Amino acid sequence: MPKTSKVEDKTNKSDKHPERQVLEIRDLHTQFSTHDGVVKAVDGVSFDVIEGKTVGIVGESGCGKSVLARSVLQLIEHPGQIVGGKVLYRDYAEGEEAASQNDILALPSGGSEIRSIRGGHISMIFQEPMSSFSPVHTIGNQMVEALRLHKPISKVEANEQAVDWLHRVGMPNPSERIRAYPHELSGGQLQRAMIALALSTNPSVLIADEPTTGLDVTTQAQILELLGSLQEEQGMAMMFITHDLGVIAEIADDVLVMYLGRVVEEASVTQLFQSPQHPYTKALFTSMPGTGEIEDNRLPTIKGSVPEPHSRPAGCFFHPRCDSFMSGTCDIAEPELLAVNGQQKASCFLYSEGE
Amino acid sequence: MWVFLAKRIGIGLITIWALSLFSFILIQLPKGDYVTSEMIALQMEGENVTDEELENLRIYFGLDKPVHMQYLSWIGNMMRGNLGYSYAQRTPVNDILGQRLLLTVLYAAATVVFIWVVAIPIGILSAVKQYSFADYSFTTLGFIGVAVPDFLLALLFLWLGFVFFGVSMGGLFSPEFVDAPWNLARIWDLTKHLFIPIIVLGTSGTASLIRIVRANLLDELHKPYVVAARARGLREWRLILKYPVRLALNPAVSLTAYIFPFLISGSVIVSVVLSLPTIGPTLLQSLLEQDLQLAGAIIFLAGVMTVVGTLISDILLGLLDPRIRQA
Amino acid sequence: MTVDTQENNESRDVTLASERQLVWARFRRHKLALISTVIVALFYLVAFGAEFVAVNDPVETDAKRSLMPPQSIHLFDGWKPAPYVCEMVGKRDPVSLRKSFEADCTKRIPVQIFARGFEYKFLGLLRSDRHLIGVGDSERSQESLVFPLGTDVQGRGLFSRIVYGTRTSLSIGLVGVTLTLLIGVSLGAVSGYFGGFIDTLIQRSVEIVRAIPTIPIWLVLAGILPRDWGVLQIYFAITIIISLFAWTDLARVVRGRFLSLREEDFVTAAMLSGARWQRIVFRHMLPSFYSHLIAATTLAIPSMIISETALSFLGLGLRSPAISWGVLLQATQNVHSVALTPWLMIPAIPVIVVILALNFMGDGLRDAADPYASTS
Ligand SMILES: Nc1ncnc2c1ncn2[C@@H]1O[C@H](COP(=O)(O)OP(=O)(O)OP(=O)(O)O)[C@@H](O)[C@H]1O
Ligand code: SF4
Ligand SMILES: [Mg+2]
Repeated sequence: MPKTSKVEDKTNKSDKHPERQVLEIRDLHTQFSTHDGVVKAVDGVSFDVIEGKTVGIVGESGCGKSVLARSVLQLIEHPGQIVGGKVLYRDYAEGEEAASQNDILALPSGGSEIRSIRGGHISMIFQEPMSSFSPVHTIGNQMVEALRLHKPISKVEANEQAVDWLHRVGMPNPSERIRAYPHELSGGQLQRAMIALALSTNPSVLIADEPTTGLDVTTQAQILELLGSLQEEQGMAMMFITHDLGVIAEIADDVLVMYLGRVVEEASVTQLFQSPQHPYTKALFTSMPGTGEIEDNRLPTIKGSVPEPHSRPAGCFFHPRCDSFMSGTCDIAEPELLAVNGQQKASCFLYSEGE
Repeated sequence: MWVFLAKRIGIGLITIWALSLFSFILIQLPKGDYVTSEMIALQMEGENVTDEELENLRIYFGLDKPVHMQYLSWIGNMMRGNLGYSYAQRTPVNDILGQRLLLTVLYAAATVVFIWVVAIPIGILSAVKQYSFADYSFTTLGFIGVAVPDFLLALLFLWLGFVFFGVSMGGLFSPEFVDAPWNLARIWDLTKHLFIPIIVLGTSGTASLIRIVRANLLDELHKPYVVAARARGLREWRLILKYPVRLALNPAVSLTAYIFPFLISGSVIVSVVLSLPTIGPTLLQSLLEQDLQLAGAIIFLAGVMTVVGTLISDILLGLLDPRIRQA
Repeated sequence: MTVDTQENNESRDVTLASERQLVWARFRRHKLALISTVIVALFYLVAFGAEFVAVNDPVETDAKRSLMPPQSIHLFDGWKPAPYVCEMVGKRDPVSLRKSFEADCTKRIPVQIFARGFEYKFLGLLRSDRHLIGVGDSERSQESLVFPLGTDVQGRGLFSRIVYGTRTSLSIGLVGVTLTLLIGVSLGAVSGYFGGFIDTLIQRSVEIVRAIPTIPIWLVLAGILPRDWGVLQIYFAITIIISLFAWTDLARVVRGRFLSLREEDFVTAAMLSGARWQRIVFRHMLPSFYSHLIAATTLAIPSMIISETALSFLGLGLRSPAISWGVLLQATQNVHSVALTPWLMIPAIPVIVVILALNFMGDGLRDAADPYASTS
């Protein structure tokens, strides 16, 4: 399924077709076999990624956000393994009717099909821009490589397009910076370059794994703004991962809250901020600096610590830390993710007990 | 890059200087100078040597000057390629060493190439296919390669060659080529003879380079930039060769700089066991005969060779890694 | 003078103890390293009790039994567990005049453990004639001797000579490594503790020493040792020569550790409390990386052993009457004769085994001490 020109007709599609799923993730399971036991890093996660929209994924460190993101592109390495589920991808560039659904996870690993999806249809940007570029190759080298992998263009053309993209992401002096090595650029500039690289192939989905963590606040805001405006121009869908609810508020349309490999709450960003339902989500809000009741001026955290991922507690995984813990229920059965308030879903016995 | 190079060259020069002092002291070590010993020899043969003649000889050889002047003139001669005079063999050192120097350099350089050609692909394979049968076999072989001293390996090859093929290996040329002028046939003959010595000398270096390439590559293989490149849709082998291998090679190159002294060192012993016409057997011979003039010159030359070899690998490293180039 | 906080020390001791346990727990997981440790221990045990392990007097020559091949020890006489060896009968080929030996199993020499043999003074004190194995008491006479690994040209038992050589070669490794440790730790500590100019100076010296081709220099130094020196003098001289260039690795390890330790709280606390630097270095800093030091030391021993063996092999190290593995291997310099008497190559085996074992042990220790460090 080689793709050629989908740039031209993609931009205004989201207006015509308000709710078109590009990605449907169904019951995804990814686990790691470690010395201490099996870590179910992603444990039955399902959600949709909608064209032109952003789904935000939020949760504490280690809850499986990055593993989820990598699983989508079959990027899990030993000792990890995707053990179940589907990632259905629909390529609207081939026209509405022709858009066949393809299970990315069923594609032979390392084959040409998965490779044309990686970076071509679905691009990814990462948390540490400095270490996500090879330190001994120039930025331009890596950008041209990506462009020529997915577009039938010459080196010169690729170079021109790369400069053009660096310009679009606001890199100062792009025709010179393209020859720079990573250590010669600042973190913010590198993240811009990373975004330029990811978007230069006109992907339909951008997966951003904590792209602003580690940057200073001003740069962080600039990058978020850049991503927002580029998304509008390109009309792509975005999967945005962060552990910062503030960032979610700025960029996401829908939100998934993850805890120990599972989605515990799913809602639109307005619903989530107006009325968080799951006790874990509420705790996340309380621990957010600048909201909730902060007792001293330390960065507040949720009480207790995240349990060892290889030995999750019985019943509701959150029960040892939950304020609303109900003995006899929460520590025995596992709650299911069910609708609680229209589109909003949560997995908690506070809402499903009566049924 | 220039700062880096200047620093390296500086260290190289200091090393050479230290070695030159060492060699010079060595040469000065025998009690009495050459003229005196020569005179005794002449007197034993019944000749009559006057003190005046003796003094003239001293002046002729510059032995009347203070030690530091002698040192300067010695090092000056060395620099100009005049390696001095072996009083024991009554021959200029240049004539004794002759093509042995060339063969030593050739031998060490060929071994470096061998180490690279063998160790890098194996190291890459071992890392990429970690825990595979091949990985385990190479790791085991590598351990043994490091543990068997060069000279034992040389002995083993000699012995096997003798027991199973009835040939006595050793030497770098077949008899008909020993004194022949350089031509294609002679070079081919040399190549054939170099094979075993290269394996013997290169084994431990190969083994440690395999270990280092493997360990470095394992470190690099899971770095974010590799995942990022994979997420870009690059073919797996191309990706591995372009990115992590490229980075894992840097320490491998700096290792080459580090093993160069070991190669020159090792070539001495291996050459003795396999009777190769390099500087090794000459050095041993000169020491057993207490011919310190010759020994001093050889030590100095071995040092210069090492420093130059190290410098070359340093330059390679600088070309390979932009971070060093900048520093 | 110092307010060297008692409390601080106690908490250090606690963390040290648990650190040691942790290292040990990690080390135990390396099966190969564990086995290697046992092998190394066995070798040192043999070195320690060389007189007891040896079967024959290692210096007693006898032209009649020159170059006798190894005698295999039969464990059973029929069904009876009665170990014996067959007597070796020497014959001279009438044409080549070469002497050869053949086992004559009609004459059996009984072998037993803890047998009586040549007399020795254990550690120069205890007089004894008991040996690990030897000719059964009933048959003991000048004529019946056992040579498990054959004899050398002068008719001396190779097994016993290897056993005595073990003592020399392994102890050179230990003495040399102690010297190396002293030089390396002092320079590394000074370099890492004081930093600045001294550090630069020492670092440059390390680089220079590393750039020097060691073997030629060893050869020269060993070559200019006075010919009339005794065994013991040569022994120490050789050890010093070998250590002269071996300290750089240890110095590097120690320096790196010191640089990172300088930033640690407990060191800062000790510095602030006004403790003298010697005290800080030896009481606080060195103990916190004993395991690294042990690993680096273990990994330094093999090259010492190789160096001694190589030097002696070339005739520039220890010389007869000293017995070391290298001295024994000198007999193999002539391939033509080795082809006829292959057992003379046997001393190469302990060299390789010990070096392998020490390498595995050192690697295991290093991994256990620092599981996250890369191997480079
Ligand atoms: N290579 C690996 N080997 C073993 N376990 C792993 C590996 N990678 C991830 N895990 C496990 O998977 C779980 C999820 O990890 P993941 O990196 O997805 O967390 P995250 O939500 O992205 O956290 P962060 O915010 O710190 O990036 C963790 O508990 C971790 O222990
Ligand atoms: S199920 Fe029980 S323990 Fe879990 S979040 Fe809900 S109330 Fe808390
Ligand atoms: Mg993550």
